[in-house]
Amino acid sequence: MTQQLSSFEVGNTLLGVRVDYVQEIFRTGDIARVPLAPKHIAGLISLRGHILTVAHLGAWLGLPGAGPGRMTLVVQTRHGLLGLLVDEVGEVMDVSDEWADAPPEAITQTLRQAVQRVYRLPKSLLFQLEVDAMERQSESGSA
Amino acid sequence: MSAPTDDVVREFLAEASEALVLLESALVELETTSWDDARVASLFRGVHSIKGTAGFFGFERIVALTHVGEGVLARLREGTLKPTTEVADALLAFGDAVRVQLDALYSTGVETETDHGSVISALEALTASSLKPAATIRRPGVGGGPKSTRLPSRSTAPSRRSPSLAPSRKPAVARTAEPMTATAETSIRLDVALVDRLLNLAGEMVLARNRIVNLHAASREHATQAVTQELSRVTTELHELVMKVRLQPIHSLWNRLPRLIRDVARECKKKVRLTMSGEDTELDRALLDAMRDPLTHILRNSVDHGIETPEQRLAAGKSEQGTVALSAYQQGGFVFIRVEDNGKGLHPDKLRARAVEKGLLSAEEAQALDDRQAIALVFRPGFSTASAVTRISGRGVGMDVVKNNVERVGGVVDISSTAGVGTVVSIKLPLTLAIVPALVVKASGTLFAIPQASIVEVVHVSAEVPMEEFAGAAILRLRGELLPLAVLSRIMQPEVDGELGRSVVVIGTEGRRFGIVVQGIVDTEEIVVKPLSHELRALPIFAGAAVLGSGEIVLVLDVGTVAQSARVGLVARSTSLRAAGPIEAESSNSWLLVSGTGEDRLALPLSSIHRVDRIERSRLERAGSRTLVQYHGGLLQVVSLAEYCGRAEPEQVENEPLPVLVLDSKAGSTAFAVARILDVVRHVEPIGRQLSSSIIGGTAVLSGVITELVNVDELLRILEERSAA
Repeated sequence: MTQQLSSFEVGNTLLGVRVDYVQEIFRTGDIARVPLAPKHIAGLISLRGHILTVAHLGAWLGLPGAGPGRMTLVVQTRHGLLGLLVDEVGEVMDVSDEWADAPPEAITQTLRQAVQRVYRLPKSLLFQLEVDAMERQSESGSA
Repeated sequence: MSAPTDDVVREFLAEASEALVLLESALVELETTSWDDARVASLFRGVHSIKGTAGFFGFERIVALTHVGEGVLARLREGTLKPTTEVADALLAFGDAVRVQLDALYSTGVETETDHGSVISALEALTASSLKPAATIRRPGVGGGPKSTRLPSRSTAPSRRSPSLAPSRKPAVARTAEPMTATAETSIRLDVALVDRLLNLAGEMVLARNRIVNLHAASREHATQAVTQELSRVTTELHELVMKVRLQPIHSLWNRLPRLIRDVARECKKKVRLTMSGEDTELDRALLDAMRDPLTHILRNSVDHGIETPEQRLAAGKSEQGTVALSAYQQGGFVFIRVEDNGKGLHPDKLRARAVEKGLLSAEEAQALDDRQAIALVFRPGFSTASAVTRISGRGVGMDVVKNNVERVGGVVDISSTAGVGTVVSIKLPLTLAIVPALVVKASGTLFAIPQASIVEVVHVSAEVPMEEFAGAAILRLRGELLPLAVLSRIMQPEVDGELGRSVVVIGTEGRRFGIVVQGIVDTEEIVVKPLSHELRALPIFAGAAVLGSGEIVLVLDVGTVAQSARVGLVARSTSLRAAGPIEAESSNSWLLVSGTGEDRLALPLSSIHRVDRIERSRLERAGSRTLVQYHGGLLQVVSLAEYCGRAEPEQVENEPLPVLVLDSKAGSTAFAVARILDVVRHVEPIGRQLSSSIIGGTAVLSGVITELVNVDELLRILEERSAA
């Protein structure tokens, strides 16, 4: 079985989310900071009159070499829309189950819990994110 | 009180009218499709409900008509009568006849004397002989009966009759033609969800408009400017109109209150008169709905707890009949609703005692409340003032629910009362839910919006309005009052010790006042508050966020949480220093923590202190055994607090200004020099025995350190004795 992942990079890490969870992608605009918010919440973005919360994915998952987040990837979570700041947005990839593996041990704890699967691509690994799992984890972490 | 009755009748007319329309369209459809049971049942219910309500109002002709009409529909429902064309004709005639009466009621307020005999007998014939209907039905229509009642000649029916009517009714009858359409056509019923959506969109449009106006403000191009202005004008108008769609006069909420007052008064065996003013004040529909329960509750309270029994009133020298005055008015984007009664009022001491009894406050905390705050205790959950729970009030729903309901829609509720004189509950509401006027402020480089409903005033820190700080607690001295402050930049960036700001937004809700210190006042703007996303729900200090006209995002502050964050919430007060006599001094539970010698710790009630200041030592003058300082145009005696408290005077630190506490007594003001001012603390719980006859009146443990509590009354008494000596 194959599925389509929208791929993106944060620092040196290649990640993907299922393409049907991606609402839209745009170049990151002005972000209004939210004082007292958790560290990984970058702030709020006005998206055509709506207010979107954006999270800095690199800070959230502790990914090495993460930039400021030039691009914003808007994903659907079970609580609504959430913006993810990423460095580069790549193409939509068809990935096959045959390439999939469980997350390796050698990645950060946060990342391992946020990652559903890892795909072995010819040139690199592709981490498939599960945003809801990330949220659950940061909730239990903050509680 | 005829107006509310009229409204109820009008509502009945509108509903009956709708039921008739349904009946008619169903009858018309009958020619092409067959009826199902549910449909017949619903028509039956419609007619039945007209009958019921008409009976309630005593509209006998409508009752007579609907009684037989209902009979026919009942037989249809049972299946003992077949829905033939004849049945449909008879029912249509019935519908028209009812409508003639409804229209007459609408225009004249009374039923017409139109004879519906033929319609009624036709219907009766159907119910009597359900299996051979054709012949009997035909006859009245074709024969001697007035054919016109069957025809939808709504204006001809009454006017044909008019010659037989009393002359005085003529003008009314002449008007029937026009109002007749009014019942059905000039007003439509709208799905509330649709209106809400429309209002949301209009709100969004206003915001988009604001951004476009900002973008084009710099444009010199004439055409662009003209179009922008046009867009701006149309948008404003559209928004106002959509808002108006939702506005309803408040009397639609009030019209059932006279009845409520009457019933409650009767049950409590009290005599109560309800007066109403400002019934035409318009309010957003959703707000009206939200006010329904709170108002009912407040009025019940007024009658049940507020107004005394006739005997008690006479004994108190009042008139036998109590008055509950309900008023509403609009002022500057807000609607105010007041419920005022001339009953027995609230007794602050009883409330304090009750709060202690209920375990809501400790005895000290209760004593620390001033009267206004004691009265505001009724808003606490679990607080009910009636010593006996009556059937009317005390159902576990208290004023706290009233408060929650009002605050949920962005309003503010306040209560004031004078024992023996009466109680006033006032509610301040925004005109609409969708758009909130707010003050945009800046702190820590971030924009914040404060809803204007909660703002009392904005002041700037200056020499006349000084801001003072003791160990992290900031206080503003405003017109003789000490106002606790919440420093927004510190709340938002606790780790940064930056500039505090020079502007203070004074917030006032339910008897407590405090100031929010900000670094700048940006603008006032009408904002559409949107809830924060799930990821930020854990931050209760923000009520939501909004997009400004400039496109920037502001965070909307929840002022209650701001107060809590700065620890000014619970005890925040406007301590009136001028009024601060010995009693008020006792009633404050905010204490100023100082060190008299540099080693010890002393606490004085904050409310007993007129000023806290620092005096350059070079300004101190010796006059005999006394030390004096020129202070605000007068001479002030400077004494050592440590010495009065029976300990050694502190060492003099020559270079530093001398910290003093200025206390007022009958003999005038005196400056008590201390070694250091340490902190402002709250909730001081004295331990052990308290002595009123000594300057050190007791001790308490504050932050793990033994602190001596200064008995200011005694201190001032000794001071006067010594001065006199």
